Amino acid sequence: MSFSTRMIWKEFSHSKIGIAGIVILVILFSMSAIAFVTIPLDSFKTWNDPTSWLQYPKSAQPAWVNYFQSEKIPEHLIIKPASMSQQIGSVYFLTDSFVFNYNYDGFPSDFIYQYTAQYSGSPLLQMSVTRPDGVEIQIISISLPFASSTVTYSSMIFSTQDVIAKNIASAKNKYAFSLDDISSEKIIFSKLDQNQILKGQYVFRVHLYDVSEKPVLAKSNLVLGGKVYGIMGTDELRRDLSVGLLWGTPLALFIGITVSIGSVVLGLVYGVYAGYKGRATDEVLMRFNDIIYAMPALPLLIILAVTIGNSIFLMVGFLVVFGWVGIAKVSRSMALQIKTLQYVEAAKLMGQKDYKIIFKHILPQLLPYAFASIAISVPAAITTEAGLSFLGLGDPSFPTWGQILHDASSYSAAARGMWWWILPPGIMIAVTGLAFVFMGQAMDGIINPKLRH
Amino acid sequence: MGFKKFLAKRAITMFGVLMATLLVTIILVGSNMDSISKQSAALEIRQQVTNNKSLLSSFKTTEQLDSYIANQIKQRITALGLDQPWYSPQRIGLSMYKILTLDFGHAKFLTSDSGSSDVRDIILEKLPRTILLFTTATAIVSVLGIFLGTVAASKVNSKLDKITSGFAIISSSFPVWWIGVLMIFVFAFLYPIFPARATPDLSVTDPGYWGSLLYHMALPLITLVIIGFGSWAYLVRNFLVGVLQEDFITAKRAAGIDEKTHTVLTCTQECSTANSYNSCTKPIWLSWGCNNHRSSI
Repeated sequence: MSFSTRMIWKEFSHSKIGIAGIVILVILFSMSAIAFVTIPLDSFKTWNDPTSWLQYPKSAQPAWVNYFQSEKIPEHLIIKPASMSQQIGSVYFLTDSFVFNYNYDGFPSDFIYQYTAQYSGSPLLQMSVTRPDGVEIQIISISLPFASSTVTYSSMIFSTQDVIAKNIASAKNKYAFSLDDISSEKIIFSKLDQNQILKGQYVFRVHLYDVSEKPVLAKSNLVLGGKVYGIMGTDELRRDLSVGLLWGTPLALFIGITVSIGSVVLGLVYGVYAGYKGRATDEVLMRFNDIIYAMPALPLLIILAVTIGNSIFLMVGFLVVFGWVGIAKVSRSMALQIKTLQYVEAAKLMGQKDYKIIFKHILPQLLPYAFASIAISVPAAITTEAGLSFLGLGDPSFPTWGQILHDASSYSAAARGMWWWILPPGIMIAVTGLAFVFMGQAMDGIINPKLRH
Repeated sequence: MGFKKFLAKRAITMFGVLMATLLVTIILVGSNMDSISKQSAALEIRQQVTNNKSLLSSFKTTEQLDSYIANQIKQRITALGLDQPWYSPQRIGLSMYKILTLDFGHAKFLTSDSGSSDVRDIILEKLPRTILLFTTATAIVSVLGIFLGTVAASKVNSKLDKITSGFAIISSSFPVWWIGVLMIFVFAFLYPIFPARATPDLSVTDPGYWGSLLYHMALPLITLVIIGFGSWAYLVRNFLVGVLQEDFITAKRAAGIDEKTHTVLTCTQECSTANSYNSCTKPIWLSWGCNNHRSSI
């Protein structure tokens, strides 16, 4: 049973299932690359910090559900402005315009304007909207707190503020219906003749006037509340699930690949050493192997996570501790066969050292088996980590797919029909597992030709 | 090896493993548990003293009270044997004895259905349900798996063989608990066919109890069977494909004996020995099977 690398690759490239595995794996790796490039690790670490998700909607479905519905659910929009500044005489103007098309069959649930201004003196902030039908409505006009030197001031304007309701009431003669007891956003986005949504292009404008110095809007966001958001939707804690799912990919690959390589290398060396040495060494090593083998992995993993720690690196170590035993058994029995071969005996007679024989003559023979084992033990590592995270024992600074599912189950997402919170993480776990099982399956077919008939 | 001897050997090994596992567990949680039990002993003493008004008024200064409490705590800790380090042989022996007799103390949050907070009661209440569910599931899965695996092996590369193998690969990639959540979502909430809880809310004496029990365990049972039978069928199929190529089968075939009957017998013997799961040496799929079997939750 000797294999050359080229021959294995040749057979592998003929196997459809193996190629499928590689294709999935390439996709997963590019997803990881996208995660690294687009979402900095530091911002991902704020996953469990509720304050960093305030401008996102709560439990919003993915935005693409609208393609399958005749009635379009309002999308949650976070709009960035187009900025423009002017100077007329001694007055500095700063205008931020927010242009968007609103084509949904429902009113936004609210709107929030978040801003951070740098100014001195007491600038005036005005907000108005130009509707698709050309009607312009003044929303608010406030002066920012006086400052004698340059200050940075952050605040928000909410659609629920009484001031806004009063300002809008001055436009009541334009509307054919009574504006009493109707909230501001339902007036601004309404047709004039009846209280129904007016679709089309809206332009929100924020003007900042100052006489003493040119004001700067360092941060300026208009958030329109809706019930669908992004590609993957959001969860109960307003977190954008696409961020969690994207970052889960490199984490799952890291856990799976590190654990499997670690356990295969450990198991291989241990097993081959036991098999090659034989006699008492073999007996002792294998009985120790039996003890680890018979230990219930899951309860012990839980205890280890609780008592020692749940950092992702410790978790990888724990999984290796329980992962190497099966491989050690198989590689021992393989080493038992190989060591009786004549060239090994010859090497021994020539006085080569044991470790040289093991690493030069026996281990290379087991490499195809080792690669197949690595591929095949990846899914188990990923599902076990996901299982531990699902039980709430995961590393909180690196949220994995299992932790997303844990949160989903603790907010009873299943009972509330939040499929977009349950389905994608599980599917990602399975797809990642499948990629490796496919590859392992293809290699298995090469190493065990018997199974192919 | 006779069956009795096998059982005895198995029992002894399992007992040894149990002891080793307990020892490892105690070593892992030992120091944590030690400080927790010392703290709870101290807390208990403090509460007793503060609740006892007549005792409290007999002290003139706070120093007296403090020294009294400290003394009491010391006595209690000695009485409980906590004055010795947790790794002393007596303490470890006592802990193992307590675990073996299921003496786990009381739970803080959980209670059994009958309202007891004794951990032993909680475990003993859940145990029969677990045994019932998993024994039934394993029985169904093994019968289904052996049957499908045999059919697949006798028609290698047929449509059925490919479907079985494909299903085995796909079903083993999904975490069982996730499929569970999904099944509850679909069949308990989206289409309310089955209940979302796994145990009946009737009393055992109620005539409808057994029917209700079956109805409540149907969804978990279906989930376990769906997840499990694919790998079993694949395992059996691979065993059989291997055995079918052995020389003695070729000989029997030449002699005109139906190959299926014989191989199924050989294989069932091999598969049903619990050991066969552990002593997998030939196809690596088996070693994966072991790993997966051990780590699947």
